Amino acid sequence: MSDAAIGAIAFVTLLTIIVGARGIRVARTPDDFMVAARQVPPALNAAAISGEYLSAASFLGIAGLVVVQGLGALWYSVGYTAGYLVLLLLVAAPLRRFGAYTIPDFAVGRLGARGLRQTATALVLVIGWFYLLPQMKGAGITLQWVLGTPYWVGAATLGVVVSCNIAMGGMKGITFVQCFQYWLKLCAIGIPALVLLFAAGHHSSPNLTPDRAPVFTRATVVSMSQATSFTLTRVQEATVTGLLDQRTYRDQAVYLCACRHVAGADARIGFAAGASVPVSLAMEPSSSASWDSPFLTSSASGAHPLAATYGVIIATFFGAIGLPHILVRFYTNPDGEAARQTTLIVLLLLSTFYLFPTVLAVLTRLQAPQLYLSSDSDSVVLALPGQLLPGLPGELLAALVAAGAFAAFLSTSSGLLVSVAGALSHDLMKRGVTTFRWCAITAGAVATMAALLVEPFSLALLVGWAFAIAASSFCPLMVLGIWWRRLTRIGAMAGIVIGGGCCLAAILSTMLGAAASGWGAVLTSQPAIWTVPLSFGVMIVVSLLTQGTVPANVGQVMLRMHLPEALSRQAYRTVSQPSRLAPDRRAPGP
Amino acid sequence: MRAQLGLSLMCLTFALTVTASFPVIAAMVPAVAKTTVAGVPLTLIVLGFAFYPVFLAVGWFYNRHARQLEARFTHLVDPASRRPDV
Repeated sequence: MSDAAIGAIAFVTLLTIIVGARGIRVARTPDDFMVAARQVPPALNAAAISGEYLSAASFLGIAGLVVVQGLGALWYSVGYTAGYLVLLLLVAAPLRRFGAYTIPDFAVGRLGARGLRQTATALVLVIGWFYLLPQMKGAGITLQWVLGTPYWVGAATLGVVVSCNIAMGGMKGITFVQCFQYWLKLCAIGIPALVLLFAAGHHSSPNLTPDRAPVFTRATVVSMSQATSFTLTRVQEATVTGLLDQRTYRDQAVYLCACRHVAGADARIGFAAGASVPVSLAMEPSSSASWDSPFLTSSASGAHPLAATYGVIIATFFGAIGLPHILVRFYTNPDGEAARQTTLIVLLLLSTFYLFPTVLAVLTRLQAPQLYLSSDSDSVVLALPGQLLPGLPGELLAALVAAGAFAAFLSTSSGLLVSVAGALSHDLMKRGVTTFRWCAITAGAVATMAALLVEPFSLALLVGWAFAIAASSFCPLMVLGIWWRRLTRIGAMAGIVIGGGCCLAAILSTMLGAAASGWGAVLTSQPAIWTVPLSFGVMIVVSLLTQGTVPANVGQVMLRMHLPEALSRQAYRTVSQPSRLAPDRRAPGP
Repeated sequence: MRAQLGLSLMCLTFALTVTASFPVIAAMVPAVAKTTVAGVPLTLIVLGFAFYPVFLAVGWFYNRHARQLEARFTHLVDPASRRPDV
């Protein structure tokens, strides 16, 4: 769309590659590649975690969803942040002290190897790929919006850049990249939000008032990018150019009835200030009336908003614990205390970031309500600056947003790909740097292919699903594994397979369009509300039934997870070699 | 470890109660969802801004107390170590 945006995206991509390349010199052994040699200070690490975490869903998805569906969609951003609080309270320090690289390593070290490693690795792959899809989709629509390229070009570009970057740099490079990405993303969403806020002024607008359809605050021309059907809530006059209701107009004033209309592609309809905004039928029909409702109202789950809301709350609050690309970052903390500090800083950074998508969404609602008629909900944030600030300033801000969005896709998909490739090479194949590289390229290619299929789904929904799977498989494993001595290998496997399996099945059935209404739709489109308790329940019951197989070293393992470093260091000194200053906390791999 | 778990669960319960009770309250008392403060919907204030300081405060409280618990435990096991600054 604009040269500035193209330049900004190219700049971010190049910068990412260059900063990543700096890491190549440092990354020599597989250890360096995997967890950056565990010497990253909390502030840097926290920025890296946040940079990795804030994905396409946070950057584009939430704001778009809030504009279209209403304030209830803010539960996503609340949940994404609260996930870190839960992580801090339940797993951060013990997990670091345990000292494993990946979730499969944790499971095997805690419970024993047979069968569990393969099960856990399979789940890492499922969650990782599920989470990669929305990133690829985000890249697809961003490039589509900026360059006008077909959807697949953006997805493929992201896949190639990220795979190559990881295959070359490993994770040492990625830590620097991710840290830089956080600040880039904060600027890219914060600056436009603040500038637009001041540019738009804060005069009161009728559009925040409950129970009223939004109105145009000034004379506005809506350009249709594709054939669109919409309804009007009252009779009003409009200036129409192009095809409307099977008649072609050329800049003519038309009285439109309060009924359904169909506009052709490229039609332009001008509304006067104070006219009510048409409601697009392709978007959620509920969007205008209940915009300030605190519940999530999606088309699939419109019937039971409370259940859908709690589904999202459970999935996002407990999902962060089970995300493979986030956990691996905690091993880069020097000790358990640092892991806790890091998590607290992450909470601060995320809270700051999530203020801005909210601001952008409210601005869109107040000042540019036409955006949810003419575009996909996920591209609202990209289109807003151009609507509010015509000319060069708007174009520059749009370029900044596009660059930030691309940074979001780059960083999250890099982290995910490291985990997926790590799981493939570390847990399933021969270890080594070369294997890791090939796995990164293969995993990236698979994700790109799959991304071509998910274009119709909203970013926030797709990411929410990845969280739901993580919450109903790895979250019980981590929480019970850390705090409950009587967990057994068979119990853990049963919980992961049944909880994760049911969740995945429910999501796939939604994607294929199984149940469209009623309870069935709620329970399959937001499955976490029943699969998370199910997974916990199965894990506990099966563990209690198989108490004979509690690992013999459970006391020792528990001690290692919960003993403060000051004591464990001393214990190591007295028991083993007195010359060693720090204990060797390598993962007890097979 | 038991004390740590207790602390974690206490903080978790508090944070979950604060956040998860909002939809229930809004569902039972629809007026809550329709309330506006100075022209801004209450839902926007709560979901968009108010929860984050709560999370930060709980996290800070937890970190402080977890550190104290560990220091006290270390001192108990090994009296030669630095006195816990309780």
